[in-house]
Amino acid sequence: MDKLDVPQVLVVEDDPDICENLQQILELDGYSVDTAGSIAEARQNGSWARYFAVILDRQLPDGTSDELMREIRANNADTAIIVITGLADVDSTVNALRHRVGDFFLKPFNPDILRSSLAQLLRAKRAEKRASEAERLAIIGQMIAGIAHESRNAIQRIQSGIDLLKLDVHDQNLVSQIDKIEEANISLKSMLDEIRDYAAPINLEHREVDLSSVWRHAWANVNCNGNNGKAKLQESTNNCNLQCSVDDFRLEQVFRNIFENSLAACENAPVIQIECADSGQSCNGSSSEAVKIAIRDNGPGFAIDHRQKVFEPFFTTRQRGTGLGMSIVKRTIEAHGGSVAIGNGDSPGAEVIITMPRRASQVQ
Amino acid sequence: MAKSSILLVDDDRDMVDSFSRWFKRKGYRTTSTYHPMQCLIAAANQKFDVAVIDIGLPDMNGLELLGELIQLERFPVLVLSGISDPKIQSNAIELGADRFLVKPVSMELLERAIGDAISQSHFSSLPVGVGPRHSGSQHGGPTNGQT
Repeated sequence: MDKLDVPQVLVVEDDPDICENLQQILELDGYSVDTAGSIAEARQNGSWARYFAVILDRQLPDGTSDELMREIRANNADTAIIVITGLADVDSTVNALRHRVGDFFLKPFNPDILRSSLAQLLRAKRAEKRASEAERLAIIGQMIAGIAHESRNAIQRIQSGIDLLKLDVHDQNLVSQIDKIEEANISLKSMLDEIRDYAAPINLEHREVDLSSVWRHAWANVNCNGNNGKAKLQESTNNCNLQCSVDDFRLEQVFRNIFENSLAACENAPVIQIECADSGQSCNGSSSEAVKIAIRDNGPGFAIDHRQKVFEPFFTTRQRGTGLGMSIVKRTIEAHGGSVAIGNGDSPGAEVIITMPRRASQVQ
Repeated sequence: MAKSSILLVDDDRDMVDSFSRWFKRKGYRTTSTYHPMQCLIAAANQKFDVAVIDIGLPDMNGLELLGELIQLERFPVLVLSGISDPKIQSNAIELGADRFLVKPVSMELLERAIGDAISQSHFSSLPVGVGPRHSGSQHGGPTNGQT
């Protein structure tokens, strides 16, 4: 568990009443609180790193808290320090500044002010952590996108090598082995393409389009060969206004991914229905009116325990595929300020419901 | 009848070499280059029916090379690149690339694209250094000119 989930606080204070009071108050605020009455006792608590914050009384029976501040900073720069003191002289103030003390209180102090100071430090720590996590993910995303991109040259070399071999190899057994290598190469390419699409930052380019033209284009591009061309797309637009400002290139991929899933799930004569309705509800805080698009198929539908997982990266029930298709759907729709959900099982097959604001603004 | 001549450029030598071997086996004439300057020198001094270029090349932005080749007004230029960014693709097409193919492609597909580019090209069998692009061009029909 993250140390900021149930933040641990160490109170180092030789006055047992203050110590106990602080412990009770802070535990009510959700902190896990340890106490120590002296420098020696504080040291027995083990690693400083596990504490989100340490509250230090300046004057302790076996020395001043300056010693502990030095130790905390030497071992772990991350822990917040709050000093409470009966005497604020220049030396102690300067020393507190040097050790990047988060706050400084003169006794007697108002516990509410201490609480709000601690809460503020916690908010700042959490924000800092989110920012560094986002930065880390962005770097990983760029790295993965880079790897996926660079691998295209290698995959191209394999492909041209295969094509060269095919010119000379006529033994049927060898030909079928070469076909398998080619198949694996194509799978690798698709996987890397999907990973790149998932990892790369989404920069939407909005255009005013009719949504039906986007899904029709996607439908035309979806490979229907596996179903012997028997797959059908039925539309009920219900006179809904489908003019939306969207990134049609990205949205086409959304429809393509959903269609491909349906076609893979439906064994015979797949029928995919698209039904539209006006949706007054706001999407992700956007007040713009929205259009609701339900995409249903006549396949087996989603198992109840799979419904929550459908949008998780790498979740798949298919033998082939990366399990990133629906994650990309979610990410793209949310980047448009919309939302996507799995139907509650009212219809027999799978149902994916997209709510898309007509005037989307890019959500980072 | 001799098949078309192809100018290839990519900094991935193995790739260029296997392209070259494949096309030669199919009866094409190919010139392999691995650097934009090498490609430009070849383009200025020899006649080709088509060029297949990468745009992620060392020392020169691939789009610059594309621009230079288009300026020569001699033959259609196909881009074959690992870059799938639609913006760069449309930049390349606006600059005058005949087609933009994203790696990997099968050799058959590349051959078809090359055939289409040549047959739909308005460049005639102009002798070296003759232009400009829109005068005296002939539409349709593959160019089988001998270098």
